[in-house]
Amino acid sequence: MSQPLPTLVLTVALDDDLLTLNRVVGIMRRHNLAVGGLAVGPGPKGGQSRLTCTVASDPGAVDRMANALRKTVGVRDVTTLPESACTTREHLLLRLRHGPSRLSALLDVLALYEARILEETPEELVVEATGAAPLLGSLLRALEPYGVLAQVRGGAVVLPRTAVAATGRDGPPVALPAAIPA
Amino acid sequence: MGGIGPVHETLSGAQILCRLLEEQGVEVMFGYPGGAIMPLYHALPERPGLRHILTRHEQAAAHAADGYARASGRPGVCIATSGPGATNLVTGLATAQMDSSPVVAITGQVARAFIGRDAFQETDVIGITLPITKHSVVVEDITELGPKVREAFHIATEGRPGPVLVDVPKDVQNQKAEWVPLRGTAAVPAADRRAGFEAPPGSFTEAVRLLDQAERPLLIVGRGVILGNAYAEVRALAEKVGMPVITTLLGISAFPDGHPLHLGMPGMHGEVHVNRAIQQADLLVAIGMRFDDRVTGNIAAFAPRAKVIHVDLDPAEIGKNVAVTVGLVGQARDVAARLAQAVRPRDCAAWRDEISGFRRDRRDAYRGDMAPETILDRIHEVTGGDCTIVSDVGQHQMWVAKLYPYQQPNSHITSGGLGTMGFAVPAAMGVHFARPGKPVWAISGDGGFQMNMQEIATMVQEGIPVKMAIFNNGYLGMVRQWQQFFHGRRYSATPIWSPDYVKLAEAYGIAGYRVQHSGQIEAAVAQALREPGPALVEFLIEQEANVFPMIPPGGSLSEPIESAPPAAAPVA
Repeated sequence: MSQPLPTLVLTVALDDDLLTLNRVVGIMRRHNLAVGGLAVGPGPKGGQSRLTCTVASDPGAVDRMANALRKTVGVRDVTTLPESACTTREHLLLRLRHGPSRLSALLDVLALYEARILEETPEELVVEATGAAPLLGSLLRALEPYGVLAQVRGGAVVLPRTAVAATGRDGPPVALPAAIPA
Repeated sequence: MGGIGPVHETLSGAQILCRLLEEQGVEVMFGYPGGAIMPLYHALPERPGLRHILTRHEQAAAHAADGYARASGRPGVCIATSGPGATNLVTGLATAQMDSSPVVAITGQVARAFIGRDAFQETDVIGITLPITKHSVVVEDITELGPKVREAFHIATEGRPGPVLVDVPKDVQNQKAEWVPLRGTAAVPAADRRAGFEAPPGSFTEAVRLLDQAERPLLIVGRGVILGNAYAEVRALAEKVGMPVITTLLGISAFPDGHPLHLGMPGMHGEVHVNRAIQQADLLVAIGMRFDDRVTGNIAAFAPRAKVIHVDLDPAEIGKNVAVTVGLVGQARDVAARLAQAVRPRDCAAWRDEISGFRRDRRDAYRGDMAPETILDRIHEVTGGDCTIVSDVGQHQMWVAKLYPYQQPNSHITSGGLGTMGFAVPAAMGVHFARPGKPVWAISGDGGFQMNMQEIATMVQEGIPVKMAIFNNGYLGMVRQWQQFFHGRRYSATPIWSPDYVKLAEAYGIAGYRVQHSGQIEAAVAQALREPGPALVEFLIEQEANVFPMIPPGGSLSEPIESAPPAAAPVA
């Protein structure tokens, strides 16, 4: 049996325009890796977006894709990190059916997962939950008996646990000519 | 920068576009008008310094711009209208992208109000060309025209060159604005919009140590050396170490043929001694090349004894295809010069003697009276070697790569990465404008020639004296060779009929010659060269001539095919 492929977290800081996003996603499509949970949101700097996704693949293939992204006009920064070096969170919104007979039990489940109630009607609840993907999966399974009417799930957003982990490029060694002693 | 007008001029977008092209030093453009680009064509006659060449197909315009860029080192410009005009550029842009050629394509687009409504001749050309250009931009307002066009030229030429497409809606071409010429001497470089790379120290020292210790070093030279004008530095490095040199298909003419250190081209159709040198080497020093699969064959069996120093301007190339011991990111010229300065002088005589023992007499591989080698020798003799050879794609491309003795830097131009049949004739037109007064030969097979032979009309109308050679074997020869070797001689869809090329030439009003035996070659080539305008020479070569040696697709460089398989019964 071959080893399971490691999961890496790819983050891309890019100019905040659809054409650059299109370019980035096009490169990811071309490299055809197992990309999961793609999330795009505002970046830390003005005029920039931040794209985050997980990639379960051979690290060499991920590095080739990251290198292709790095030389794309409009891409400002690319990092690849092992998932284990990151804190990841996903956001889940749910619309649930409830009835007077089941509400108490349902509230217990939601409390266990620290899900918050956003809206309530006599028959339905809108709730949100955040957490890593396994936790949200577990919540969804726990809610199945109660009737999930609709669900929306954002892709994972990721933060490296330490500054050292976020050093970026992890490819082969390179040296710029300026660094070469004469 | 002659022709730039006074500061306070209100001009249309199309007029400003012309001024921008002048500002960028554009002297010739290749294109084809149509509805969405009409304002630009209306403005063009006002600027006689911008010569426009009307090709017969937009694909040819893109290849001609590419040929101009490759021969001149300056950006080549092509123009097309929206819709089919833009889509016809696609093959030419992909060709330029694969071979790192600085082409700027300007396309008309339907007016902004019509975009997204499936308007007449509307296509999302940006979407279509995203993966095959270095960059692409839409000019969404006349105020963006200057910055975006200047940025396009900058991106096309900076770092590793490549094609950039600028899409200009028709109403933007008609908008009015004040023309503000660029101040200062150089085009304003766009802000560096790329991510940076870490640069661990010590790599250069390690590269020098590897070079000093290697007993069987081998230098592989690619197109980066031509793009970076690093001929002298690479030669100095090779000579200081006494290191044999091989040139990839796109590196041909980056190192002089006939130099005692030059071995030839590696890879699928590389000579046996070149590929064996790779397999025996203990160090590969690769400069400005990207370990294409046509060079490496089976990667797992490639250069099994060698450590690898890879020098490239594009960091993404380091380690992409082949594991690298030391990667040096930088201009070929800088890195080669510094390496040449730092390494110890030596003479790898024993290693070179060993390689000499691998040599085969390549003349054994070519049979018959009209051997490709004989034809190419005559062209070289008659031109005195002072010409640019532009080849197409197929068997003749390999013969032209291996058998013509290139002495002048950048005198061999071909579509390497994309392998675009039909490239030679239009690209040669572009080469002519980069090197006016110098002979240009477009050498094609009968297949590739028929893909863009309509451009003879362009040559006649515009007075472009390209000499066209057709190696006619009545087959799509390289595909036929694969069918012979790997598909049981089932010649499916490879026999190809040709028109009477001499009569074709006559129809276009140019000189045409048919050469049927070797005694006629020299006279025909000489007569074609004497013609003031374009001329065509058809060489009838052996129908089933093959390119030897050949590494089977995916095979190891250690296992070349050196003769045709025995004739078996055709597959039923």
